[in-house]
Amino acid sequence: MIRKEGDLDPAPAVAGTRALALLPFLVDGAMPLVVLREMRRRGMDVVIAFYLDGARGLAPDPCEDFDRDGRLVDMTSWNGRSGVDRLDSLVDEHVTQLVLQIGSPSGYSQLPVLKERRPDLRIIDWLFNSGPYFQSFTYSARAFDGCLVESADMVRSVAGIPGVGGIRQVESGVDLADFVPKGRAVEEPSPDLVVGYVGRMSPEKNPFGFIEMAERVLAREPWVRFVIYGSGVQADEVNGRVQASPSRDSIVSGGFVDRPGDAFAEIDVLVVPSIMDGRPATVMEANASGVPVLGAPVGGIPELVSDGVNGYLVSPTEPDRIAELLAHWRRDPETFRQLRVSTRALAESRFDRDRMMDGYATAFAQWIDTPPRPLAVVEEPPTPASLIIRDRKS
Amino acid sequence: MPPMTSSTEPLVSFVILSYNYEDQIRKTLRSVLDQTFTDFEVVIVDDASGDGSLGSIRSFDDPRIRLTVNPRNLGGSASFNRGVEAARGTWIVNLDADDWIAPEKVTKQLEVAERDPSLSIIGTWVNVVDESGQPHPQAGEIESHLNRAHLLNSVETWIGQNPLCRSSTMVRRSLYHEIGGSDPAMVRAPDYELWTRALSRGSRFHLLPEALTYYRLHPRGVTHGNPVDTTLELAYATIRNLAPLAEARALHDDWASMLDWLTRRTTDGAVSPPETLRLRGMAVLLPVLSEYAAFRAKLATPDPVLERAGRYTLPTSLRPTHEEVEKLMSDIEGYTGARDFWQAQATAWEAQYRLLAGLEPE
Repeated sequence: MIRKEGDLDPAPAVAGTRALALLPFLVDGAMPLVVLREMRRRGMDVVIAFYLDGARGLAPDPCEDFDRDGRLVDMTSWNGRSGVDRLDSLVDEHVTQLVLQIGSPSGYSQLPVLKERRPDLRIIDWLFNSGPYFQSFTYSARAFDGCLVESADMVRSVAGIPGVGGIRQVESGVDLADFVPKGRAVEEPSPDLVVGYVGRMSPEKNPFGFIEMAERVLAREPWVRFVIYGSGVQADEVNGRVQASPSRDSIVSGGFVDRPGDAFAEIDVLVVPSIMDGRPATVMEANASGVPVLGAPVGGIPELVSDGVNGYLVSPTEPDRIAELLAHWRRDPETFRQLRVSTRALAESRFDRDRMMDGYATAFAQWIDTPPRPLAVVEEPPTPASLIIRDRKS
Repeated sequence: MPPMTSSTEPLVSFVILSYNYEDQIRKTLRSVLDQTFTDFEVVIVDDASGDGSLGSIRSFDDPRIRLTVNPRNLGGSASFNRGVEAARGTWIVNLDADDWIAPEKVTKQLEVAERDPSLSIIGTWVNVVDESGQPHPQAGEIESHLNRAHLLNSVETWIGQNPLCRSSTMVRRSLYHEIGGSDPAMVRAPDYELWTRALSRGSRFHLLPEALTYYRLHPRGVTHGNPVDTTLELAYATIRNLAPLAEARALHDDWASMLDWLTRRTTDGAVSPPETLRLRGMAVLLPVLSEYAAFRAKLATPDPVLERAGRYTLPTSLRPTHEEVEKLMSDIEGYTGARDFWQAQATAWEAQYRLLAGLEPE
């Protein structure tokens, strides 16, 4: 069953429902936490369990608001079957209706056991892209009631998994009041365009691909300037690579910015060079900030970027095409100015966070309203004659 | 004893298997007739006893008792199936002729069934007694294992063990019609196979946490009489029922535990190495096995594909058992304790030496 939220029947209320969310670690600004906080605000009782300390090079979110209410659970020492027992007792304690697997490293082994113990629970995997968690889900999908995804690309991917349950799609969005055009986006287009990378520095996001692309563009168009913002497990390596680049005078490390909007104010164009991605928030945030995007045609990015409206779909391995686009905008600033306007307009019509939150509330509430997926059983061959019981009532 | 004449169907049918228990079956029947619940019939299947069992049974003059005598010894499973076929109750209460039950047992089991209509199999905790009916010398150890809050609806509970005493169970008669009866070719663990088959078909279990069944453990009992046959019957049930269920429910750790169990039970040489490989191969490839005889035939037949699949599983074993991990943790604690003790001793001795030698303390 595949459902796309947003244009459904009147939504059941999320208030009064109870969910347990399993996260690997707690990262400031992470989409699941943003959504779960909003669900809490709407009256859902949300318990957050985390499995790893720290935030893997990113800014941590201590989730004090959850902790204050006894809704933050440290699962770092609850491995294997003891972890199942712990989840079992949490479900008892909080009368949980819905369990959300959001990247817990133990979820794919613990949750099938929990589902067997508690068939009435709805257990959902919340998947953002086709990375390692998607692979793990593939092996365990039969034990989950279903999964929740953001992009049509992910809907297609999970629909192909044998034994998958229900699939619900909620298109993500951003806070259009928070991300508004400012800085360079409201100034007259400068002839020296600034091209930025804003996001997590991790292999799938491909920050090194951005640097290589920048070096090759600069070989053709030496007036372009590049800047990289972000943090993550590859941050030190990326900075080292920038320092060692022969183009280091034109490529700058902007470091971590607390508010991504500040980074978008400093650039004219965002490049998203991902190797693998879902529906990256940075595309929508940039667009809402009036910044067009040159996005790699992977994962859910093609669903976000319309050529000539809010940017272009172009791979970082096509530096000549990127250079041509930049040169064209330099020659024709009016075209670029119109692109900025249509970029913000598209964000307003398609990337509204309030609509996304309504979609999640609907999805969670409907999942709780849906009967749980029955436990799998074994399909037996026909009973052999030696085992058949015949009535021989006297 | 008069023949059974009642045409109404009772709520409960006791199915009692009788085979040369002339001394014990009186107590068994007495405990049935003393039940606080009365809407029942008693179906006794005597498997051609050579002692005075029939006389003991016929000494009870109760119209609710029906006796079937096998023309020749058919074995426990076939006799059990005959009893189920003759039964008319909604529920079948299993009881071996050497065991007995507390007067309120069936009443309490029916209360549980009424509270949760999804249940098909309801067992109880047990008292383990010896031949004379007294508490068995090992009762404490055995009962502490059986009388626990077992999660009978979870695959992991059944891996390599049977936590449910057949004489304690009350089973919906319709279940046997749906999934079949006891496998006549099995001697050591047919009830285990039946329970795991029921589990694999989605039947729900409940274990009543009260010791309402008296289970007699004595040398004549068949379960532990032949370790190799017992292992093979448990292995068959594992491969036929539990492994496919673990696969269907994505219980990958449970499947690995089954492989570990198979390895542990077959490394003592009792099962030949090629058979061990074929066993493990079957656990991986899950061939369709509908009855025990087919399993034994497959096990006895060289099969390069099964053996190759079995060989590939060897590197995955053996994961440490829970007990081994516990011991390792305890050993580590002991070693670190010893290290800290001797470190403190050495420091104290050095300080003493420095004091005696007139050296500055460190």
